[in-house]
Amino acid sequence: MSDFAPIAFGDLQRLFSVVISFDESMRIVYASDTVHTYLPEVKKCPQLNEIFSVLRPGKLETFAHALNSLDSLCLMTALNGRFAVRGQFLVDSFNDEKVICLCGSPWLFWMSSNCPDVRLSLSDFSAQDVQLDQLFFMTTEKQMVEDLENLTAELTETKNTLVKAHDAQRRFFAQMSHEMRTPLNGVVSAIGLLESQSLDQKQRQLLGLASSSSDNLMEVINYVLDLSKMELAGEERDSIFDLPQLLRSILDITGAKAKEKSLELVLKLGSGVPHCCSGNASRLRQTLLNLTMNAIKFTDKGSVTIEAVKLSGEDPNCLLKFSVTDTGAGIASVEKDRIFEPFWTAQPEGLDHPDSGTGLGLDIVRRNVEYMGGKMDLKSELGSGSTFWFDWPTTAESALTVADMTVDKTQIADPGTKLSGKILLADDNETNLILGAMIIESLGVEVATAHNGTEAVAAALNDHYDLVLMDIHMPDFDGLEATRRIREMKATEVLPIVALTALAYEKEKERCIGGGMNGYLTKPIVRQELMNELGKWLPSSNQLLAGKNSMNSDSDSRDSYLDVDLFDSDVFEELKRQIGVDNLETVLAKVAAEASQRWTDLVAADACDDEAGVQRNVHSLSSIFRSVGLMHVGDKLASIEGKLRTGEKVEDGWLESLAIIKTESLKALERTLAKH
Amino acid sequence: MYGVINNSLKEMIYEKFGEDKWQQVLSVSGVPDDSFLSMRSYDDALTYRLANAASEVLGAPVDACLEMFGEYWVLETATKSYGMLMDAAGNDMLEFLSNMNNLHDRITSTFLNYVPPEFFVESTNNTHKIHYVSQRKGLISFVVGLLKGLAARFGHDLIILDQCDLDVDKGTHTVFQVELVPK
Repeated sequence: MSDFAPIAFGDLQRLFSVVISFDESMRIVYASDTVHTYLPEVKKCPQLNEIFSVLRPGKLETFAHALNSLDSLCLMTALNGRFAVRGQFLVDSFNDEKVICLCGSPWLFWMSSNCPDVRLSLSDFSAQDVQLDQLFFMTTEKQMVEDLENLTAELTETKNTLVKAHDAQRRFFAQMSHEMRTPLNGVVSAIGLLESQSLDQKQRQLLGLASSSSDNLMEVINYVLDLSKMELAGEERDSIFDLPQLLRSILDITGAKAKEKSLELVLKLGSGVPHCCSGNASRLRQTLLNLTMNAIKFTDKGSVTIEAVKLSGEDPNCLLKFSVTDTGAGIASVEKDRIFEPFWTAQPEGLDHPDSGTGLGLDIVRRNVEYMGGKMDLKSELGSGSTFWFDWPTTAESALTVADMTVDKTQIADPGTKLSGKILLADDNETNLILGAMIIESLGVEVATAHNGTEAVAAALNDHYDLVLMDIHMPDFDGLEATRRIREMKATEVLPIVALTALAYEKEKERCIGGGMNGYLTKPIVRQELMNELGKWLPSSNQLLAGKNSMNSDSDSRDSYLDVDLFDSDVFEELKRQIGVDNLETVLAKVAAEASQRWTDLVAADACDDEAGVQRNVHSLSSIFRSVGLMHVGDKLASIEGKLRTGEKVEDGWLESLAIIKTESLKALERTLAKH
Repeated sequence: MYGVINNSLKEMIYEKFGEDKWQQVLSVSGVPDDSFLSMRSYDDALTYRLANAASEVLGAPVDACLEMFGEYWVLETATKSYGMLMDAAGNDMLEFLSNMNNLHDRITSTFLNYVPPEFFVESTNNTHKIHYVSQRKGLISFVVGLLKGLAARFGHDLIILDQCDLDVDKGTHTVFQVELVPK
């Protein structure tokens, strides 16, 4: 008893609301007021274990255990479940006997969880006890969570309201631009036709003004439509497409304008650029088209060059760089930052040139590039031309890449080409019919008209036409229904049907193609675009004159694949030896026809999940292609057939990817045939 | 003052007078935020602006608004948000007031910018002198509401027999002589 000075229990109780003292026999000899309040039975001086169950320390059966746990936290719960204490042991003396005192307070956390109805008071905790502070903390934390929940709910509600308003606005914009495009269709077409009439200088000047103004108005409307489309970005899906073909289509559309201004229009493809890419083809096409049109517009002499190169990346992921370079006036460095802002034009304020446009194209370009995950910039000096470039991340969908190549559109394109054949033009709008017919006739094509779906179907089935231009919105039944009825009798190969619609949406296009149509054109009819589309399906009069019936009129595509990748000449030579040169053309034509039929069957089988049909046609096609030396596509098909047989998963988009290789393979075959 | 006070004022106006009135109060006050974080300390001036705006919009004296708010704070906000602490603070009004300083001490140790008021009670028979000491000015009516709300919490009506503002260098020292009448 000499090694410590006893502490009066009263002092202890001032510092600790819970004080429980027990002697060497583990009998409780003293308890503080708070303990008496909640556990009156301590008055009878019971054994500690008659009142409490001990959680910590791990063992507290003897006085010695307590002496060994002086530095530990003690947690005890009353056996009746109505009270709990937490504290620490202290050695003291009571009536000259050595005792141990548990000094602490009610175990608030345990009690609030296990006996919340027992109401503790502030006076059950000494001033220095931090447990109530914890309680306050817990309360505030709960409140902060509530704050967050409330704010989140408010934000969600606001967001939902905004999204709804935004949707309504988007629909309104889309509808308005659609409504504006339809009458503008008439204006643009009429002006286009007037331009070919004989006019005096004053009239031509006024017509030029009307033409550029209506072009600008069309550009603004398209801008609004494009923005609406971008709002639908989340609904767009990437597709697999033929990159060189897409680039060539840019040349096709812009070639005539370049020719008009005597500009050289060149496409350069660097080696390693993948042939078959995955991405948003329509945005890429629109971006390049805008940049190219701009370049042509602001270049008076020299050239416009579109170039695609591979920047970096390991297959299949890679980064491509597209650039459009012109030899135009260039852009002053102070203007470079502003050039991508809406309504910026190359003309200084107050000197509004009729051909300067609305300044909306580059804004769309920038938005498109950013949407596609790329970045864009320009390099330009006044007087030295400009290069607009952007990079574009993509995934190569086949191992085929293009070899270095340069296509000079102005050397090979002939915008004066006349087409021939007979077209059925179906539209319920009389103005559209008159203007459309005039434009079609100006291309050298005979045209008949139908005023509604019924007339269109009757004409298409009873008379011979080389193509139908089908309006989508007609009063009795729409163009899709008309197409469905025609397709019951005439397949896509027999009678091509091209949609003609004011709705410039990718979805609309998908709907048309999915509905059995072969192509898609938007109103107003642009002569060059119409010619490009018709050129895919109708023979050109030049071709007829030359008396050459080509399997593929797309001569631009030459060299975009290396034939050696696609074609095994040994197999072909062996075939030639066996059947003789004279029979080669006939046999290969039959092979091509058979392949075409099998391909159609394959696509149909795939569309209705006919696995056996898919497998059968894949097998036949593989065999057909390999027999004439088209080993690349044949091997691909064989590999797919193997996977189908074993139930292994075939990669998504295999059919689309294969379609491109198949087409290129047939072209390669045709080229080989031409050499013989 | 902490955001919880401003939120409570907002809730009271919402509940008693509707959302439009709250939007008017907000607009008149010029306070930019419509939401307050409960545990963030805001400038006192913001709370005063809201109270004055409420008085203007509701067409009632600012003292009446503050008193209503004091009652609302005790009976609604504190009961809902600090239920356990309120329960622990006492079983009758006088015990509650005597524990109030203890409670405020604890909050001060956790929330370092917290400037709490102090309450002292002198009792003689049925009348009590409640001292309210604060470093703030202009909240006496709010305290009247608090005291009435507390009395109601413990089943009494509070009758203020006398109210005396003592002369102090800074803030407020007011003595309320009150009587508690069982309801």
